[in-house]
Amino acid sequence: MDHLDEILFDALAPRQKPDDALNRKIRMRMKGRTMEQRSRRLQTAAAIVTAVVIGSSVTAFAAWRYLSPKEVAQEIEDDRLAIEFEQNNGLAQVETQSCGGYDITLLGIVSGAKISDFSEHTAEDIAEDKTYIAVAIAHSDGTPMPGMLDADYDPDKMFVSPYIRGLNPADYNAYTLAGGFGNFVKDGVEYRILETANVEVFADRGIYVGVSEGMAYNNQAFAYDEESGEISRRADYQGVNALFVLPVDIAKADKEKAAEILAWAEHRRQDGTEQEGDQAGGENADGIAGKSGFTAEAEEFMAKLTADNIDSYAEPIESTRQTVMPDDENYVSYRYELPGGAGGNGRIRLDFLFEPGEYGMSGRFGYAADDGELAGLRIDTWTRNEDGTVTFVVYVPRKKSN
Amino acid sequence: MEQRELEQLIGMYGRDIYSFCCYLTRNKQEADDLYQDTFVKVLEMQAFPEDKEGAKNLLLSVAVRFWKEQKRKAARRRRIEEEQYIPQELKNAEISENLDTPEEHMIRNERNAYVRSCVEKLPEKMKVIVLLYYMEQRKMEEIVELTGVPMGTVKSRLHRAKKILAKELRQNQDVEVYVNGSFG
Repeated sequence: MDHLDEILFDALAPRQKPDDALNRKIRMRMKGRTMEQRSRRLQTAAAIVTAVVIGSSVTAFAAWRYLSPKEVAQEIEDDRLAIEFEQNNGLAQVETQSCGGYDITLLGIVSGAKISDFSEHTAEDIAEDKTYIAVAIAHSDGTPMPGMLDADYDPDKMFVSPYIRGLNPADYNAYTLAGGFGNFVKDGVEYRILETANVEVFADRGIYVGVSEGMAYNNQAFAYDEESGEISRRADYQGVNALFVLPVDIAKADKEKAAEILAWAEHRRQDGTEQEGDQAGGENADGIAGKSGFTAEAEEFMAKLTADNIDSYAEPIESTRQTVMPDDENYVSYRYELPGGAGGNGRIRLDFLFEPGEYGMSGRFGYAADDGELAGLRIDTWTRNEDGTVTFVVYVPRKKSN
Repeated sequence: MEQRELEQLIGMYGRDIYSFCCYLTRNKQEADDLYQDTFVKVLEMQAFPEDKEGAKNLLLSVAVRFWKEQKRKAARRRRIEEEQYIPQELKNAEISENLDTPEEHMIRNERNAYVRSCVEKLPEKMKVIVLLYYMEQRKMEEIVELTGVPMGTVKSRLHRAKKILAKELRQNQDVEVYVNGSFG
């Protein structure tokens, strides 16, 4: 006689394996969301930049050892994008730049609407029009790049971003242009496909693709001349600072779309409060004018909030409270987890939060909500203490008492 | 969480979580979405359990939470043509690691396929408990934590589910089974 427990354990043993394409989608979404979250925290923080113009460029041409952009797209299981790269790659000549011990190769660029199988992962998007840029990163000495399972693997080590001539790269970069990327390592070479808003509409201005160290725009690697609008590599910089000038077709310029993108990026930069991920968008998202999918109730709540009255309307989650010292670049970093599992982390520049000599809670808040609803709001606050430390704590709206 | 940790997570729990999602949703697209959403959500969390069971429980709890939320939303927009996702291997004979004779092997496969079809038809509230217990091999205390359902209710749902399944097996598969009344 069979025992039902045994039958059930046997019959229900897990047998369904997720296919590789599904797992790749998770990686893509992970990268996209990570970038979204960081942009929420960092876009405004990175707004201040010093510009010293020194530029030089050492360029070589050698790409035979790399995958084609079509093959890169195929590797991340993006068939539509592979076809697009095959048929419409805007790059006639593959270009490699060597710097900081790395060979950085720009493999291809394509732009258009619905040209990727993964385009839906930036939900509340600016537009369907996207640009995809394929890049290969390799060690110049031929040693393999660490693979995803290696201990020293760090996909955040390099920041790949488009920049636009005449626009401060600290303000307009992959973060503010709705960037996300997918990557993998094959035969010792790391390949990335970066997705951003369609930057080819800025063709009349001039477009660059920069690769530098770090998680955000690196003003030590690049210089921006506010008068000429030129972006260039800093000649004395010892690290990675590859900068490619894209040979885009000026006919692709579209001033109307460019203005929309700038307004959207500016909103992100100014507001600094993009909602997190897909969930906050949904039915409430109404693009640039509607400010990012928060309900009117939530927006009104945030509009009335000040450092002086926050305790009347909201209460701190004490488990998120942390006091940190600013780093050498005047940033503070924080990381927290909320009861229930959600969490966040970020790094923000104090110049953005406080006037010189100002202490107490900053009047600038970060905020996010899973559903865009008031009840789900999480409000990031920063308080500068007299000993120079900064206290970070997350607030949530007080529950209305009957 | 870093990318290499994601790879480890997928390697260790991908199959378990995906199977769970398939049976919960019975629809490939929804299973794929649920699986993706679960991992992405967990990746956002800053504190991730280091122990194996804790990590799996976290993934399962997120999957259950998303699934409940999906059901709530789906109730408003249920499609007329609902794709019944029964993975091919559930329909066909499966590879068994046990050394049955060919005949025993075939009988066992048929029986297992039938059991799974019965489990799929269980009321949703029972099904999730059965899957957590038998598929994911969670303890009763863990199921309570994962689902937020009181212990007494969990036990009762599991017991009732087993009675239903036992009856089905007796009637349609001519399999003699008995139901053990105690769990965990």
